[in-house]
Amino acid sequence: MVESMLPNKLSEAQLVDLPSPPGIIQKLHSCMAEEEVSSNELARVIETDQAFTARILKLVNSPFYGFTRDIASVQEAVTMIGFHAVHQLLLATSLLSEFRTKNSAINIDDFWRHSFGVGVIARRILNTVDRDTKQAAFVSGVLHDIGRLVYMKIMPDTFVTFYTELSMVTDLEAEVKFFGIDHQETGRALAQKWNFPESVTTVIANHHNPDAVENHGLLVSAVNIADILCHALQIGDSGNYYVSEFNLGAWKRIGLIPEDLEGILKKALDEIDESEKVVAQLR
Amino acid sequence: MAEEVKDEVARKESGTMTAFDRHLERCLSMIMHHDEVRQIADVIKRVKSERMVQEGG
Ligand SMILES: [Fe+2]
Ligand SMILES: [Fe+2]
Repeated sequence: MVESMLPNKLSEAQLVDLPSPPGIIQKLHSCMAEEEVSSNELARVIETDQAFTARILKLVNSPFYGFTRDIASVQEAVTMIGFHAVHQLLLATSLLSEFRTKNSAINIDDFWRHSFGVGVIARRILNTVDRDTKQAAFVSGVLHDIGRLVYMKIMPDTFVTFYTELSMVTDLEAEVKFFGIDHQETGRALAQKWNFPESVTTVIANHHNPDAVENHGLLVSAVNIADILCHALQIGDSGNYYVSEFNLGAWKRIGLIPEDLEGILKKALDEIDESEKVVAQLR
Repeated sequence: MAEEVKDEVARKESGTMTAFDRHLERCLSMIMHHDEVRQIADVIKRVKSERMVQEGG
């Protein structure tokens, strides 16, 4: 029965046609590819784009970062949160605005609440690691399910059928059956097209199989567990009934004990509530 | 049958499981028998119910 409703599967060509990153991101990436480029020079590249500059300043001045004084320039933002953080926030915010499209199959606000929740919890889980890894946990958490929105962008009608008529079977296998490729792979294609850092791409492409990766195991595991916790706590909605099987290997890898989890979840929930405004700004 | 399991069955049969209990069970069902996962589930339930009280829902 499912077979007869099968649409055209996603083709290689359609994946090549994924939206391109905005010019400023491309400029930034080619600049980063040069040797010996300083953070200040990169900050100046960002400052050539007013909209991006405004977004970054809004973000770093939001309660989410909790700085006590005003941050007035991109250079200062880079000093305060690091160049990687600024770069990744730019990538994430560009994608958020790229995928704002309304679609009746999923509630996009709930989708982003889920995504944001996963980012916040993943970052809290990795609280003791270095700043760059924590930042990568946040960004890859926010973007982990972006592959779902790729379906919505490329095959909007099929997407509606898939989520409304078959909402109870939207697991990875059903995605493959329907679209020819699961949301981890569509997400990977998008992340590669946008030149995402390798760590973030690895998380997007493996967040349901944390045991499968050779590198970034800690990061992938943190996002995997954060995803399940978000589903369990009913934070937002990823448009999916299916939840990954709780992976004990991933749980052991992140090294948490249940006693610590309570504090992490409470703080994360507060942060998610406070940050609703930030999410609004991200769009 | 272990005492705990009997309790669980009785609770389910008497219909005292909330929608959230059922949801959580679905999320973690595969390995709910694992001790540590039970503890994790208890933490989630506690956090969630405190939250619902706070929100007045
Ligand atoms: Fe996913
Ligand atoms: Fe998810």
